[in-house]
Amino acid sequence: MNASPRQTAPTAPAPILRLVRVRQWLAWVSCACLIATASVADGLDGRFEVRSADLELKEGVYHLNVRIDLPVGDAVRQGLEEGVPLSLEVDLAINRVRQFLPNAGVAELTQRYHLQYNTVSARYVLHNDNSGEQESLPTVDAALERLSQVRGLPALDQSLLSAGRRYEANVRAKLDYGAVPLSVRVLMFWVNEWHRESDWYTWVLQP
Amino acid sequence: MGTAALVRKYGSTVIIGIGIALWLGALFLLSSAAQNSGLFNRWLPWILLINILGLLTLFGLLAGKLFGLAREYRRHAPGSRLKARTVATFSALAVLPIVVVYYFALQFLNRGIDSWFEREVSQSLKDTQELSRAALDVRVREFLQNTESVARSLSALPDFDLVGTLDRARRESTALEFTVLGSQTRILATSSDRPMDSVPLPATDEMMLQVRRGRSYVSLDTNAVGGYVIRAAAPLNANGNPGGRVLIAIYPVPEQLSELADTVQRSYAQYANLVQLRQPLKSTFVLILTFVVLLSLLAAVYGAFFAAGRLIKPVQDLIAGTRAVARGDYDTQLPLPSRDELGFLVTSFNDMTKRLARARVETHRSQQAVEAERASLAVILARLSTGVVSLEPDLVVRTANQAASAILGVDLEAAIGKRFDEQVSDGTLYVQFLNAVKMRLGAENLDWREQIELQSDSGKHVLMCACTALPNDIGVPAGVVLVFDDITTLLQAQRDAAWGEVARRLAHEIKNPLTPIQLSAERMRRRFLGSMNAQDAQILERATHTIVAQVDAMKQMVNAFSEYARAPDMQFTRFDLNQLITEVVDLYRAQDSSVDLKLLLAADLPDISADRMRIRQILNNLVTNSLEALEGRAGASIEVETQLAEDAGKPVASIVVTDNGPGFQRDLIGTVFDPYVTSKLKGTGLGLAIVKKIVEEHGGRIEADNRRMGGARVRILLPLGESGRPFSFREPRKGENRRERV
Repeated sequence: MNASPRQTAPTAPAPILRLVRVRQWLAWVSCACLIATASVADGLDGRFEVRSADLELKEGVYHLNVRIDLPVGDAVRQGLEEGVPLSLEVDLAINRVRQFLPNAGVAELTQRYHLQYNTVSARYVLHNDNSGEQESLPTVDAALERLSQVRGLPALDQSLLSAGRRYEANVRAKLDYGAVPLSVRVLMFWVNEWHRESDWYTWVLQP
Repeated sequence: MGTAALVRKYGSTVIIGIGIALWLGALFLLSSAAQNSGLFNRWLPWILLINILGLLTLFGLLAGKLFGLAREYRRHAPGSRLKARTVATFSALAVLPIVVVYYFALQFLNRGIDSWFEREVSQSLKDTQELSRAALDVRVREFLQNTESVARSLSALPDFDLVGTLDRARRESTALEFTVLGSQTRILATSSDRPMDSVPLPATDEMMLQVRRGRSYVSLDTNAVGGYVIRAAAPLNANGNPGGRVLIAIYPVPEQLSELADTVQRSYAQYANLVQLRQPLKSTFVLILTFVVLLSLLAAVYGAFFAAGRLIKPVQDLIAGTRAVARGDYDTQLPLPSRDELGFLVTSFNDMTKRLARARVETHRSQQAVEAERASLAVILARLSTGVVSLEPDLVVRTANQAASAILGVDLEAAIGKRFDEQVSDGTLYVQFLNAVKMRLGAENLDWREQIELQSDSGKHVLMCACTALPNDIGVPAGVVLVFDDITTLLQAQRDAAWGEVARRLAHEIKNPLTPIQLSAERMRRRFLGSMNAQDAQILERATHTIVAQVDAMKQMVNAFSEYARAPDMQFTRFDLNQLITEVVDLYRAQDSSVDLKLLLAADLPDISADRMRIRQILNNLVTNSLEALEGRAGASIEVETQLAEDAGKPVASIVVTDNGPGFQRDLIGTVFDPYVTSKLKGTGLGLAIVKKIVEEHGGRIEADNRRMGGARVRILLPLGESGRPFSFREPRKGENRRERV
């Protein structure tokens, strides 16, 4: 890339070339600053996805089971032990599939969990924001394991789904690490270690 | 004033005002929001939007200003360099403090945030945490022992007796709830202080796992409704049967202790949050600070442009005004910027241009007057028959009139602006004149008057030349003026007049005694010839004959003089000149056949009005002159030619008599028409003088010169009409004659 400018200006760089070099230098400095900023912040790191999800019909009610891969590394575990909270939000959307029209929404559900270390009791408290229930767990691994799966969550009454029709179930998870204010997140928009969203996990539901 | 003009005049001011207001509003929002994170989150997008808009607007305005300044600088617009320097100075003055403040603000920010996380703070928090745990651990252990004690007391009881004992044990302790679970975590018995509004808390997997291993379990848990509870579990079967019953107890934590624990937990959580936000907060504040500083910098630089523009504008006006004055636009009036020193300068400039404009008008008038004078002088000079040439000190021709060109035979008017001696000309008159004048121009005294004689093919020319030095302000000659006149004709006229007087006196004084002398001689001859001897008679006869013959000769001479000096008494008739010439020439052809007499007569020549006899005399004299010059020459030839010509715009009859004889002697060419000027041995020397006199009496003109191939040539121009006669007879026009020479 640098060969052709050297051929055209072997002795002294032309002004345009100097300008290009200055721009390259500025771009490198900017990238270095961003990388440095990202590296100093210890936060969410790794894959964040809904590994599996299904709806299980029990006694006329569909119960949601979800398994999530959480992007928590050692830094997040350390942060949790030091009291930084972790919030998980699971969104469920069930749509009726239509052939020539956009899918019609049938039901939507959002379940929020909040995990935080209690330093007085030395236990991890997992709080279900929807039901108000909370669970106390002794270790961070146990707490994360518990947080990474949703089991038997009543999601949908069977009567809402028509037999013979085709439905599409979608699950997505959102994870917040710490209580980072929106202002900070907006200003440091290029840092994604405080808030992550998974892709939609979709499967077909045929009652 | 139209809307567009208003927008042009106040548009930028309004935009800047709105920008400043928004910026101040954003700062106010920022300062208010800094106290409240909720407000900050809500207003942040607006603050960001305002600042980004302001930044972009300022950046655009600044880019426009910079581009404009660069363009002016490249075009060398008036004041652009001064403006650039002023902007640079103002910008430096504004930017440097901002940069310094920015640097120290960054330091302060970093250290301020770091101070939140000093070692003492975190250590205190840890100590508080340890203290809380220690305070609660005592109770936890107590409740665990109590639970184990109750479990032991219940171990021996069958399932149906558990309820009463369990309830009694709960009442005896401070427990909130006692529950005995059987296999498959089935509730066998339970006792609660709120039996109606709650169900037994379920056993956790962790709890059951530990109890099934035969170990007691205790934990401090948070309550869903707030506060803390101590949850303990102990197996009932003391022998450690894992499939046995389990006592689960819930104990309360005192409210005060619970609140304190909550406070510790909140502080711990907040501190953890702060620790997590430490670096992002730093980055965020640095970003905001940088943003604000950048905004301030751009505003400061734009302000520098604005201030420099206001400061430089009068100077630019002055420069533009000065250039306009330099171009000659003296009506330039600059707007008065203020009443300070610049205002005084502008006022002085306006006064100066007013005075210059007035002076220009006066100069213009003077110039017009001078031009008019110069035009008049040029007309006078052009009409003057006297040659006038003015020269610079380095001999460059400043002015020259037509007469000078005509007299010297060169186009001096074309030489204006060139050196006088650079005229490349083979004109004999000019070269002689230049040689005569150059010697005198080198002398100190430049005021002189001298007669200069010049020689040309047509004869001698006598110029009366006067030189005068042109004065200037410092006394050094600014040049000279040469005034010269061709006085050849005047001298000739003087000579003619003198000869006329001589002729009249001769005719009067000499002619009268001649007749008595002749009569006396004849009488002496008649009286004494018969009475004398032959020898004496022969002597007398010879003497009287000589006297009579000489007296006749003298009479002829006196008659010739008389003819030359006679008064012009002519009989003008209209006749055919060609016919007259033919008659005269035929007579000579008959007399002398050895000379070839040729006639080249113009067929279109009209009749002329003249004295036929005198014209005949002219022709006789000229032909006789030529015949005498050709005497004894082989191949002698005389040619008489007539033409219809123009002289000074008037039709004339031209008679040219040429021969192939020896021609006029060069030194006599100028005086051939003077009486007694002749190169021949015989003759009175009055022939050509009489010819010239007759020609001039007819208002004509005569010239004599030599042909290039040899021989003499005499040319006579006779006016065809009578109108020219009275004028030309007495005063021949010198200028016209001179032009003819050219």
